[in-house]
Amino acid sequence: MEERYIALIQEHEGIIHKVIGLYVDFDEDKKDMYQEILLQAWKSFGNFRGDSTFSTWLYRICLNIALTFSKRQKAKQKADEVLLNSQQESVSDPSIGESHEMLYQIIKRLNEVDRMIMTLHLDGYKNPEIASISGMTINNVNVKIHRLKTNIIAQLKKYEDGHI
Amino acid sequence: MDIFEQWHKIEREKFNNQTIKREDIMDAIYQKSKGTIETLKNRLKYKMNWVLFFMICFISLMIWQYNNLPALLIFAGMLTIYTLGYFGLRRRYKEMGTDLKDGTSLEVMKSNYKTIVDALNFEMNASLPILPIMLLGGLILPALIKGESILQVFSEPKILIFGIIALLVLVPFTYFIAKKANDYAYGEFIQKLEHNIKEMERVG
Repeated sequence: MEERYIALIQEHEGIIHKVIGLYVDFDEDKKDMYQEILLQAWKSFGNFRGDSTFSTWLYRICLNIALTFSKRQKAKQKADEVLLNSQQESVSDPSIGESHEMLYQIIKRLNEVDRMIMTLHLDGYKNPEIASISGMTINNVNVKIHRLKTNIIAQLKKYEDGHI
Repeated sequence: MDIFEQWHKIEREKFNNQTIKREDIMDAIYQKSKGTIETLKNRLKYKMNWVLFFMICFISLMIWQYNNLPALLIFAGMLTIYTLGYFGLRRRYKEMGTDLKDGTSLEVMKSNYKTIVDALNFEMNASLPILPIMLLGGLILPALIKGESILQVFSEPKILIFGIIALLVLVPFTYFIAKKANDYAYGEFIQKLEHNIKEMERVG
């Protein structure tokens, strides 16, 4: 069972890096979340019956840990500073470069729930699947995705036109 | 503008070029959890051990003072309150960590929220009757053990005044400090869960 778990984790490790990268900024928090994901996924692995794909199941675990993760106090203060700085920089700093980098920054600045929905959407999950992972109603997911996409595309257009 | 294509570019650049080593996975699965619930669970276990220690102390004191009825009654009262507190903590301790991490995000967040708020409220509410009893017990027990009656102890104005001031000042102060400490440790986390749950349950 251990061997199977290790093989599956290594095959889908991109999901873990993605969620950690999107939800925490500091090394200590990253290390804690990384260990917590691997540990909790292992603890729940016995319940994985293959009703969904392993990637969906792992995504679910990663997001649940990210949404219930308590950042360290110092990291919280630093995160607030970084967020403030990044917001100021994104207005004036041309070094952000290509628009995909800008997209990453926009998604990182969304609130935690919106970030989860948008990440799943961009990874190709259908709205009913997102609803079943998050526990939200399909209607709520539809509305949120529509709003978020409109907003993100508008921000990217502004950026490409040089208004940001 | 194809944001999906841009997202794949982000994935290639940022997430798909790292590797998790086999040893790291093995290390992680044999380590203790550092999650919020696990931290709170350890805190409850620590408190449970202290409560158990005091229960043993009260039983020992009851045996020692078995022919001193007023002292025996006070120790029995304290033992009863501590026993109730112990089983209350134990129930919450047992309930923790039974939540599955692979439920829906909303279920997991609600379960985390309920567990944390319930445990913290229980701790605070249980400490409310225990604190004044401990204070009064501490004041009168030495005299009771010497063989004085409760009336004799409270007829001493100094003890009476000290007891009243201690009750009026120390109990609310300790309660206030404990609440502040809980807010510092869990306040922001609880708010985050509340916010996320509201955000997910909001229609449209």
